[in-house]
Amino acid sequence: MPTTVAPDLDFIRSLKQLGGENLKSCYQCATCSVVCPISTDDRPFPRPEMIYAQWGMKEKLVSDPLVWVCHNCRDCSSYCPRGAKPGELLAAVRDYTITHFAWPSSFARLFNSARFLPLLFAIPVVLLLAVLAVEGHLHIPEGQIIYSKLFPIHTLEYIYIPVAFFGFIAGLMGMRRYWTAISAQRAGARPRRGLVEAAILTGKEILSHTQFKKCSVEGKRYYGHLPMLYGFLGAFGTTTLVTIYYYSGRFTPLPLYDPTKILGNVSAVLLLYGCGRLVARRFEKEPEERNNLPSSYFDWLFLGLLTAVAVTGTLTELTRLSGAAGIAYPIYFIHLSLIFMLLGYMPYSKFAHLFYRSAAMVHEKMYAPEAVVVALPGPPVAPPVVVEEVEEVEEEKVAAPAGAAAKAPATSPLGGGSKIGGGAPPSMFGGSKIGGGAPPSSPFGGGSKIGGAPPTSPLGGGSKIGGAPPTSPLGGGSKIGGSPPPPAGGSKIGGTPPPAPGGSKIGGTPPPAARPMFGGVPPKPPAPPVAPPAEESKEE
Amino acid sequence: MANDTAAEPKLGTYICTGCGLGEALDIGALEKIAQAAPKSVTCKTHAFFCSDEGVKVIRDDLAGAGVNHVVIAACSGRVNQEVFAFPKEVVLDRVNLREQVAWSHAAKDADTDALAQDYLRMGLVKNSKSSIPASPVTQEVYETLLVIGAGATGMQAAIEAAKAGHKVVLVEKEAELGGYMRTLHRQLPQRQPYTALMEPDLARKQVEVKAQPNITVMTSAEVVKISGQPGLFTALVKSDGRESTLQVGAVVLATGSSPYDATKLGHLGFGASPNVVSSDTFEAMAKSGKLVRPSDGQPARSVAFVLCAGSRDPDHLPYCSSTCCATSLKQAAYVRQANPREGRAYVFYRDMRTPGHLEYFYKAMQQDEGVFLTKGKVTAVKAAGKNQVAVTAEETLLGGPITVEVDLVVLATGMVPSTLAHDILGLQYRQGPALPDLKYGFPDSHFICFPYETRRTGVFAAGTVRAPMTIADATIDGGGAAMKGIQAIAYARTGEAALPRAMDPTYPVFGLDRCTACKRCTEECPFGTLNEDDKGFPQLNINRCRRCGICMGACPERVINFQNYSIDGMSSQIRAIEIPSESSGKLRILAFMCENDAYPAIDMAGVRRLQYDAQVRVVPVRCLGAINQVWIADSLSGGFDGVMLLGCKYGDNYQCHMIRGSELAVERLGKIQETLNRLGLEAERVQYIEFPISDYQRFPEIVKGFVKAIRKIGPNPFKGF
Repeated sequence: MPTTVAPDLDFIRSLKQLGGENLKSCYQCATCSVVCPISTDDRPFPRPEMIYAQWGMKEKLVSDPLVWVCHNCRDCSSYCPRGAKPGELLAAVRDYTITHFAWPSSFARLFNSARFLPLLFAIPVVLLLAVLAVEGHLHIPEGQIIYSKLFPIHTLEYIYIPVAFFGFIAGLMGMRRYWTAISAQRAGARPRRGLVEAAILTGKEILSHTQFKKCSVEGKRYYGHLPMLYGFLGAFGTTTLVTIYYYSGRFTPLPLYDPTKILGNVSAVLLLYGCGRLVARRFEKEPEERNNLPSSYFDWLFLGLLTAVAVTGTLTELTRLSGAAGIAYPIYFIHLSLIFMLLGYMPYSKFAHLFYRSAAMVHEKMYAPEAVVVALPGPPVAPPVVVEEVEEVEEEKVAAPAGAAAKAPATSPLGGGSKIGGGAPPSMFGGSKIGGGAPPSSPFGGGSKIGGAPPTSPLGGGSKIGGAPPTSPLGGGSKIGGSPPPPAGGSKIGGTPPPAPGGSKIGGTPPPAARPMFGGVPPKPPAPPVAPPAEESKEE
Repeated sequence: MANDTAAEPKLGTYICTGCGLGEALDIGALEKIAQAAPKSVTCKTHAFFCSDEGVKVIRDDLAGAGVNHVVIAACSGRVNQEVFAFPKEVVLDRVNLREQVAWSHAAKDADTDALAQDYLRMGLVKNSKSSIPASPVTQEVYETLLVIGAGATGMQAAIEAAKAGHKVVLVEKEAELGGYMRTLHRQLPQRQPYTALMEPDLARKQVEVKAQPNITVMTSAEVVKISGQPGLFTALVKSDGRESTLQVGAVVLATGSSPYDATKLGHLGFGASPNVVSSDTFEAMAKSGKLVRPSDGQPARSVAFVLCAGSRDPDHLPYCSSTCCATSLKQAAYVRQANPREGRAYVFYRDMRTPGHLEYFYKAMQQDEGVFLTKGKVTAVKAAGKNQVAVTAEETLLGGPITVEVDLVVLATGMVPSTLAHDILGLQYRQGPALPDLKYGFPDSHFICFPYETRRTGVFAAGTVRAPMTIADATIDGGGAAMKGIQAIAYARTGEAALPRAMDPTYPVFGLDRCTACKRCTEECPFGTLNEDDKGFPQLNINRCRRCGICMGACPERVINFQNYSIDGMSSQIRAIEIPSESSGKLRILAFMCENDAYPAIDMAGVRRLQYDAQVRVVPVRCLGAINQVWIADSLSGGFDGVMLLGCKYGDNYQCHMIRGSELAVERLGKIQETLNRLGLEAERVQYIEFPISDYQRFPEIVKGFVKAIRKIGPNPFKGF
C-alpha cells in the first residue's frame, strides 16, 4: 500500500531554524551513508532522513531512533558534495524531538529562543532571593566563609531535591512518549534481545564511548565529552556523598585531604577540562573545505550552562579559600541558580539527550539487526582534499597503498579513489558499507565502502579498503588496500577472494532485506549460514 | 564543361629531403621516376621545401619555367597547406612520403623504398590526370535570406543576418511575431546567477525586428514551395491569401515544435479528472493569473508535476525533450509564488535533467521548502473525491510507493518537431518536398560537426525544429543558422563546395551521352543534388552538391567524374603500383581510406611513429561512398591480394561526413563479394573496416590482422595475368 504523504511545511521551517538550513540541498547521492562510521549496511543513514526532512515528514523523523544513534561527528557534513550538512540536520531533528516530546509541552517552547533566557535565569534567582528574604539572610554573612551560613543544607534540600526530581520525572515522561513513538514504528517486531540486556550493553557503550570514538572529522569532541561525562558523574556523586556526610554529622567545608573533597576537585578539573575543550572547539576556525558549521542557540544553552556551573563551582571553592567573602557569596549564589537551571530544565535543553539517546540506543539494541561495524584500520580519514588530477589518484591506486587515503576526493566526479563509492542514485538506501557491493539485483544497490563494487558498476564504485575491479572504466580507486583486487567484491583487509561475487567481510552474509519505510514489520534477515555475524564482529 | 585549364601541362616535381626523408629513403631512385614522367620539365630536391627558400624554388619555376602542374613529395597534404598555396590555376598534388612512409616504416629498407616509389608514381599519375575548373558555373546569386518562423529562433536569425548586411524575409504563420514565446508567463533564467525567472523577452525582440530596415516581415504567411539551389532559390509564399514569389539565396527553417498530444496520456490520468492538465495549459493558466482547479475554480494550492509524461517512452516520444524538467521547476515556482505559506509543488522526475546553467536554477528551486522533489515512476493518477487528484508513484527516493493528494496534476509533455506533421518547405526536389530525417522527425544533420546543415544544402534548421532546446539555446541556434546561410550564399557566389569539403572548386561532370538514365545517382545522392529531366536523365544543381562523389561511386556506366578525381585517374593510380611477383612472397594490399577521418588518423599514427606493414598502399577517397566498384575489380584483376575500405561508422549514430557514404559502400561491397564468389575469388579479400579518427593507434594492428587473413587465403591467383 502506498503511504500518503502530506508534508508539514512548518516542520521544515523549524528544522531550518534549528540549524538544518541546508537540508533542501540534498540530492540523495548517499555519500553521507557511505562515509558515516556508525551507519551500517543493513540500516544506512542519514540518506533517508534527509529526504524525510525535505518532504516534511515530521512523525517519521521524531520517532526515528537512528537520529539519536548519530554522534554528530560531521563526517557526512564534511563529505557532502552539496553542502546539505546531514549532520546538522540530524542535530536539528534531535533538538526538535526534545521539544516535541517534552512534558509539559508548552513549557518546552521557552527553550528554543534566546528571548526567553532572562526569564529562565530569573526563575531561580527570584526563588532563591525569596528564600533568603524569608530566612532573613539577605546580606553577606560575617566571619569565616561557610556557605551553609547563607543557605542551610536542609533549605537547599527542600529546593533542590524537588527540582532534580521534577527534572528527572519530566525527562522520563518525555522519554516514555518517545519510546511509545519509536515502538509504534516497529509494531509487531520481535525484539532480538531483552530490555535489561540491551540497557546493560547501552550503559557499557556510554561509559566507554566506543561509538563516539569512531568520529573522525570531529574526533576531538570525544576527548572533551568523555572527561565531561565523568566529571559530571563525579560531581553528582560528590554532592550525594556530602549529603550522606551531613546526616552522619560531618559538615562542609571538608578538608582538602578528605576523599570526597578529592573526588569533588578531580571531578571539577575533569568537568572544566571537558567543557573547555568542547567550547574551544566550537570557536575553532573551521578549515575552509569543511564549511562553517555554526552551533545554534539550542546547542549553546546546555553546554554554556554546564560550563558556567563548572566555572562558578570552581570559583566558589577558590574564593572561599582566599577568604574574599564579598565575592565568594555572590558567586555561590550564581552557582546555585545555575545548578537550578541545569537540573530543573534538564528535559527541555540538550541535556535531555541523556534520556532520548539512551532510549534510542536501547531500542536499537533490542530491535535493530546487529550492526556489523568495522573499525577502520590505518590512518584516520583525512578531511576532504580537492584532487587536482584524477590520473594521479589512478597511479597511486597502484603504487601507494596507504598514501592514497589522504588524496581521497570528496566530490570528484570521476570517483577515482573515492570514499563515496558508486552509490547509484536510484538505490533505495544508498551504499552498502561492508558487503562487496550488493548483488546487481538488490534494490539497495550502491557503492561499497569496504568490499569492491560489482565489476559491472558503470562508475567504478570506489572501494574504501578492498580494491575495485580493474575493469572499472572510471577508476574507483582503493583507499587503503592497494593489493590486486579479487575478481568481484573485495574482502575487508587482506585480499582473500570471497566465495561469491559481493563477498562481505564476514563471508557469505546474505544481502540485506528491504526495510519497510512506513511502519510495518521489518522482514527478518535470513538466518546467517553458520556463525552469526555479530559474534565475529565483536571479536574484531 | 569547358572550364578546364587548356594550357599545355608542364610538370615540376619537388622532393623534400628534410624531416628524415633523405636519411630513410633512396632519393635518387625517386628523382629518376619523376624525371621519367611525361610532361616533366623539372625535378628538384631540397632539404627544407617548406622554408621560404624552398617555396621560392617552386615559385621561381612557376614563373620562370612555366610550370603549371606541381607534385610535392614531402609531408602529408594535410599540413603546410598555407605554405604551398599557389595560384588557383596550378594543379597541385602532394605525395605523403613523411607521415605514411618514412615515419611509419623502417629506414633504408627495400620495402619502404618500394612504398615511396609507388606513392610517387601514383601522385604523378593523379596529377597528370587532373585539371582545375577555371571559373564557377553559376555567376549571379541572390543575397536575401528566407527565415521561416518568427519565434525566438527565427527572430534572432533575422536580426543577425540583417545586422550582417543581408536582406531577410521573415515568414510567420501567425498574425503576430513571437511563436512559443507568446504563450509564456515567465521565461527560464538566462543570466547570472541563473536563479530568477525572467519576463518573456518578447517585446524587445519584436521591436528590434521591426526596426531593422533589412527585414521584411510577412505574417499570416506560409511557404508553398521552394525550388532551385543555394544562391538561386525561388520561394512561393502565401501571405494573407496572396501569393508572392521570392528570390532568396538561403533558407533558415525555424518553425519550432508543438507539445506532445496529452490526450494520448490516459495512463497518466489525462481525462480522468479535469484537474489533470498538460504543462502548456498550466502555463496559459499562469499567464492569465488563474492558478485554479478547473473542476471548481478554487485556487490550486498543491500541484503535482509528472515529468517525462510520454517522453523517453517507446510508445510515445522515445527521446528526451531536454527542457521539461526546467519548465516544471519554473511552474513549481508559480505555485510557490502564488502561495508562499502553504503552496506545495511535488515534482516526480525520472532523472532531473537541467543542462548547462539551468543546474543553478534547479539548485535554487530545490531550496524552496514547498518544493518536493523525488525520483519516481508515477503509476496511477486518479480522481480523489470531486476536486482532488491522487498521484501514486513507485520506486521513489522515500523508499517505497507514496501517494500525494493534490489540487492539480501537470503532465510535462515533450516537443514534437513541426516538420513531423508536414514538410513546410515544399521543396521541388526529385527526392521529395521534405528535409530528410533520421529519426523522430527531426531533420537529419551531422549533429557533431555541422549541426545546422540539413541534408539540403543551403537550408538550415535551427531551434526546436532541429532538436529540443530552451529559448536561450534556440536564440544561439538562430544566430548560428543565419551565419551558415550567409556562408552558403558566399560559396554559391564563388562556385565552391560547402562543408565538409569547404572551398573545393571542383565538381562532378556528367557524361550524359553515355548515361542510361538508371537513376542510381539521383536516388543515392544524400543531398538531393540531382533532379531529373523528362526522360529521366540527371540534372545537376551544382550549388546543392557537396562534392562527396557518392554519385560517382554509384554510376555503373562510370560517366561521372571530377576534374581531379576521376574513374580513369584512380584506375591509373592503381595501375601505377608495382605488383611484386608471387615468388617474392610479398603481398600488395590496397587500402581505400576516407579523407575525412581514416586518412588523418594514419597521419596521426605516423606522427607518433607507429610502425606498420609496408605491403599496404593507401589511396585517399572523398568518401567511401565515392569508391566505384570498377576500381576494386581492377585492383583484384591487376594482382592485388586484398582490398580494405576504411571509413566512418554508419547507421543510426553514423559519423560519416557525407551521411550515407559508408552505408552505401558496405551495401555495394556486398554485391562485389557475391561477384567475387562467382569468379572463384574469396569474398574476404575485400573488407570494410570501421575506423574512427580516434582509433589511429589501432592501425598497425588492423593492417596486421588483414595481412594475416590474406596470407591464410593465399596470394591472388590472378597475379601476373
